Amino acid sequence: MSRTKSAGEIDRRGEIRLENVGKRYGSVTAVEGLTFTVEPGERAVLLGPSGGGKTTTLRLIAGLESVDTGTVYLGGRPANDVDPGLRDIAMVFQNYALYPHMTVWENITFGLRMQRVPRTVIETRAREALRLLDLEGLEDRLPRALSGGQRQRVALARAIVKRAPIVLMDEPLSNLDARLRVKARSEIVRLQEKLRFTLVYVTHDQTEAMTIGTRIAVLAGGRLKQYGTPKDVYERPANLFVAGFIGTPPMNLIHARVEGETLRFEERPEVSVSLPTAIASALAERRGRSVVVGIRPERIQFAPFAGTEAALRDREPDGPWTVRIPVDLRFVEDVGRERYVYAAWGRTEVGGVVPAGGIEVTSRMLLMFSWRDVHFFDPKSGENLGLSWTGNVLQSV
Amino acid sequence: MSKAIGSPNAGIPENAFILERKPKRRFTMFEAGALGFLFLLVAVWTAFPMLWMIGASLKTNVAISNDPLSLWPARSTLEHYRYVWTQVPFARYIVNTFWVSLIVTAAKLGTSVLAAYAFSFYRFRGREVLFYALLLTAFVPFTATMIPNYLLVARLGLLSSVLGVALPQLADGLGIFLLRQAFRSVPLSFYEAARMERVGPLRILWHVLLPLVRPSLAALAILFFINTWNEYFWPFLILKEKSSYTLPIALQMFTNLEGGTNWGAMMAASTLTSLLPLLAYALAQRQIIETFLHSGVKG
Repeated sequence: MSRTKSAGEIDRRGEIRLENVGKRYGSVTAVEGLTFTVEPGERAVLLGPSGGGKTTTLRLIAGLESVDTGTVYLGGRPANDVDPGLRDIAMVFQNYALYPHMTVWENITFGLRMQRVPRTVIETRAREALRLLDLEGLEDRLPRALSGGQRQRVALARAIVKRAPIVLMDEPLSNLDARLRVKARSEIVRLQEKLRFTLVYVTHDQTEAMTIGTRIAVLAGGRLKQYGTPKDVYERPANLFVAGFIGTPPMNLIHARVEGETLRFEERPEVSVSLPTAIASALAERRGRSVVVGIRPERIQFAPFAGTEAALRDREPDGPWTVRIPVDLRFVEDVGRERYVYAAWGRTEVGGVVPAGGIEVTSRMLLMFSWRDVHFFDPKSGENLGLSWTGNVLQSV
Repeated sequence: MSKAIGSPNAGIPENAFILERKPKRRFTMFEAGALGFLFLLVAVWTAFPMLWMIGASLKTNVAISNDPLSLWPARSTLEHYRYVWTQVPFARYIVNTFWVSLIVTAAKLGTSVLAAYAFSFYRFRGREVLFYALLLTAFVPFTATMIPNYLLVARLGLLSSVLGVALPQLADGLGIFLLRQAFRSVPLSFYEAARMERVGPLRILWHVLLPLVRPSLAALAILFFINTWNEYFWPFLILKEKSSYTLPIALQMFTNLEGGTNWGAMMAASTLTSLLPLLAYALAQRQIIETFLHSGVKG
């Protein structure tokens, strides 16, 4: 604990590995079959809807809950039976858990004092933490005399004075207003980059997850839906759940049927589009069966319905790979910088994001997208069929 | 606030920041008056015996029998206090009572704190059943346990000793219940945060939890103390020697003196007896009321 560590050095003890970890509460399965590794110095975000098992996973790592099945390894060692106090983990709680009867200084130094760390060491570490988190001058305040943002920073300061190789945070920004939250999340990243601890961060806010995480674990129903970089989960969602959960507005998921070299949309049977040869052959074994076509709203463009072929071609996003489908607009939402455009798609809608003022919105338009931006999913298993594009080459992954 | 009658927000500026809550119905002048009168009646009803006790202790015995209803003597005298202090070992009784009360209070607090701590922050099989079983003991009438307890204390050879009085009351179901309620108001994360800091269970209790339930602790301490101080029947059973009497038992000595009751001395002794509990209650009144309000139990 008291060994000194120069800033920027990554501590190997910060590795977290979960192997087939499960936890039940009575008849309710909280998490099941969790397997993933957080490398030392990484920022892993546990993201998912409430009840998905994020907080349970965090508490299993902390040792505040006991593991029913599987093994949690910390720094390469099995830790299932290690007391939370001996795991060398610091934690920031959702409600900060600042002791109301202790001043900021007493709160920050409490753990170290209880460990009988030498006073000079406590002094140095606490001073540094106060400086890093811009809390100097507030040492003698009680938590109730602090603003929400200050309390949150005191909680962070208390976590970092411990110099633990692993820091866990359970929705630490959920009690802040939107503006403070943006500031606080960059502060957390800055702090982690300076001190290089392994961070495991729980949130249900995908913007927070994308901006903080170097890796994101999407959890739902107690299971790991995908574990990858923010780019991965956004650009290569592993399944329909991740595809629908990540991104605002969410990815359009359109049911269609593979008919030879063409695709017929189930909600709009009058529309069928021909598939590029590469895709048609990749989908060959699915002929006569359904697929789910996923396309991000920001990859959809709209063009005036009427126009010359030449003018249209100029606006085609991807030359011959472009799909063009006539649609009726249903409604438009202005969100300042951009505009969400929703077109009727049978009984449902297909949404696109366009720059505000970028196009003139008329009731009938052409919806355009490139085959390169399309994901194909199996409608039953929900799995991504794994057709992804690198340059101009179709790859099966 | 009398201006506000009839209109819930009268007197509050239009632009004042008001927490959103349903406007409370105010009492009409008549209702407020009637209620006030009722409270006054209850207060007088409750206070009268005490005032009479203090008044009588300052009267001569002749004045007490001639004019029993007057609250205050025309000429007050301290002769009864002098009598009580010199004729019986009153100081000795105060010390006895104090010791019993102190031991019982300390022991009950100690056991209640530890039990409530476990019931609030530890998960173990049978926790709820055990808890309610303990709470149930608070409702077992004294008369049901009196004889077994007496026999036990007698067999242990503790008759006529302070320890004999204290022994059967070293733990208290109600105390455990009230403290568990207090601990429940402390977020679990406080306990967990301390655990993550490798703080031992007793130090978590001492440094984190107890400071947060201090009002409840104070209230319980005073309740325990006053109850033990005032206890009559159990000490009466156990204490045989006059020298080991507690104050409530000592009081009856004045009723049985030959030639009838010495009312003046009796009242002076009573006043002295109730002085300490009254003082203690006055000091901690707010905390006691708050503890009962927050526990959902009516005092």
